[in-house]
Amino acid sequence: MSSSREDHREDFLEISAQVSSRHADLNLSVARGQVVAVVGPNGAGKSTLLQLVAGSLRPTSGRVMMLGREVSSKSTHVPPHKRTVSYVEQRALLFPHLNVLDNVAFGPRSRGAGKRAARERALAELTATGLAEFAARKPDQLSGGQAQRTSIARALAIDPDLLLFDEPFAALDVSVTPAVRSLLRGRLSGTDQTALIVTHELLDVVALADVIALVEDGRVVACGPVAELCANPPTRFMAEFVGVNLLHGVVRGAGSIELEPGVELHGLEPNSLELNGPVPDGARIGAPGRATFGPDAISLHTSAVGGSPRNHLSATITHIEPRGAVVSVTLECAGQRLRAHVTPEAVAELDLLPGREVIAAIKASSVSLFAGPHKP
Amino acid sequence: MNHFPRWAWAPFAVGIAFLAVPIAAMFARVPWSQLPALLASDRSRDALRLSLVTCFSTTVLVLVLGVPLALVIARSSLRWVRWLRTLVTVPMVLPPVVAGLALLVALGRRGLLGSHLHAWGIDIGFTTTAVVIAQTFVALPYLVVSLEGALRSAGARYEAVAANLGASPSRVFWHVTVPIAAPAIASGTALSFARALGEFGATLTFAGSLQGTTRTLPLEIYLLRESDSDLALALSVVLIAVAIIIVAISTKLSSRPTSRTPSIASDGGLNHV
Repeated sequence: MSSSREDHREDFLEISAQVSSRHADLNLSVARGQVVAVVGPNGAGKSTLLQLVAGSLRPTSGRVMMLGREVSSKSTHVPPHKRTVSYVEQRALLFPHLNVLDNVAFGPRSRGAGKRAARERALAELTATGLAEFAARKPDQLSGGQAQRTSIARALAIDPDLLLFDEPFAALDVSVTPAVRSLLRGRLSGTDQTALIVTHELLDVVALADVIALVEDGRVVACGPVAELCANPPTRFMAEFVGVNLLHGVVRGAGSIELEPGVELHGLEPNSLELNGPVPDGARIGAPGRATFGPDAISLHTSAVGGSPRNHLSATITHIEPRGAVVSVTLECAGQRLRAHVTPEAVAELDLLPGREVIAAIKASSVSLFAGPHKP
Repeated sequence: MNHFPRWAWAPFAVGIAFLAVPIAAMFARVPWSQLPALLASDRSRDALRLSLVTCFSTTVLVLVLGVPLALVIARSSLRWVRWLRTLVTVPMVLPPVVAGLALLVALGRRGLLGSHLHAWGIDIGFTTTAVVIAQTFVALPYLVVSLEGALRSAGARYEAVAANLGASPSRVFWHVTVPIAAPAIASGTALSFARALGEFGATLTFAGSLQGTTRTLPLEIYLLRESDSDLALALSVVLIAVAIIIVAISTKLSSRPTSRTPSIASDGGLNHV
């Protein structure tokens, strides 16, 4: 019986759709009440995913199911206004000819509520959003943050089955982003509200989402709990998104992977994060493995150094970029890319320049090893 | 700092004088003291009434046909609809006499459609209806072209938002598209009204010149210009006054902030050919 309940939950939103003009083949299922952060490089298909759900884009094959009902496929297409899906974009896009109250009342009114009931609903929504005092204002009399909060209130006023956010904070002033984010967090957490949020900010993911859907090259390449994907990033994009290094190799024994013939990397295996489950040690030799570690775990040297708990890898500097108090040094090591944070003093002392050969020392205790497919 | 060469003031002055002198000359010749009596005459009252009735009918027709037409051209992704955008502008550049001839060939008693209508007892040519049709034919593009441009540059983002909020396409049209495009609709309508008011060639060719039935203000002015130039001038003053009011309304309505036109650098140099 628990399994049938699980089935029902998984049925909330099921996407298995292709859009040939955008080279997208997207598969994703979302349970009721889940907040999914959709992350990925620019042009990977995140907006395509949202448009398929909103109904502004029709798949060339496959289908989109919502609440067990087919809303989009080759044979059927429920238009956006007949879905109960709200879409909040980067820009608030408040109707310029309506005041704040009537903007928020527009949705309920369009869905058949009387003028008075729609306005009451709108006012309640504005009050919950802390905007009641602005009800009579025109959109051009609002600040960017107030406008975006109004558009969130407008989206919530239709009691949407599903909320879609396409980089909702990207166009906001950095000083107001935290307030809008915390408003959204307050309106999403502890409710049964299901939402998809496209974002380029790790903070949004951690603050708002339960699940990450990682979209790359038109595909959902990974989907899992936020903590799991952040701790164990499956792709280079995800690793850079959470700010860690990711190296691929093959398992060479307990606590070791081989990056390329003769180059081994030692580390720890956090079993709790072992995605593929326990596997007998012997069977794992030669299987694909991954290593992650922070940019702070690397120190750079120009001559051989001692110290057994460290990995010593030959690397070439490809790029040097100051970043606040530290300098971000991009390295190429065993045909893969690494980022190290070092002090400006170290850069000067070691005379680090792009093209220079260095030795990257990585503390084994800072390296986490995972089983997983090799992804070039 | 002015971003134009100083010599531009010369053509500027000539151009302004060229436009203003004829109007000023006319105002100087108008028999102002007899104006009320002249305008109260039968011929002028007929012409004024007819122009008013036909221009308002034309404006209603232009709105009813033009707004959805502009919307379809601006929003449709169909290729043949995009070609129609060019077709719509044709009556704007067509000599009005040719437009009248085209209408006659189509809707006249022996015309392509007109012959069928005649068989059913409907004759359009040389009626007040013909005046409205002629005016609509030449005035419609003015609304469509200006509104279509405004709709296209505004984009369909608000419409998409409204649809996601649950508004049906018709509700989106009435509650989002039309209110947001209201300034463009109003200024396009004013332009169309002005074009209809001044319409001469197509009306004369397709509708003729029957006092009280098809003889609008411009036609009457043309006929009176030699026999009773005082009355012709009096009627002209009315047309000019209406034109000034319309231009004022149109300017006020379309005075939303627009992107500044880039200044053109002029080095004044002559290239050897």
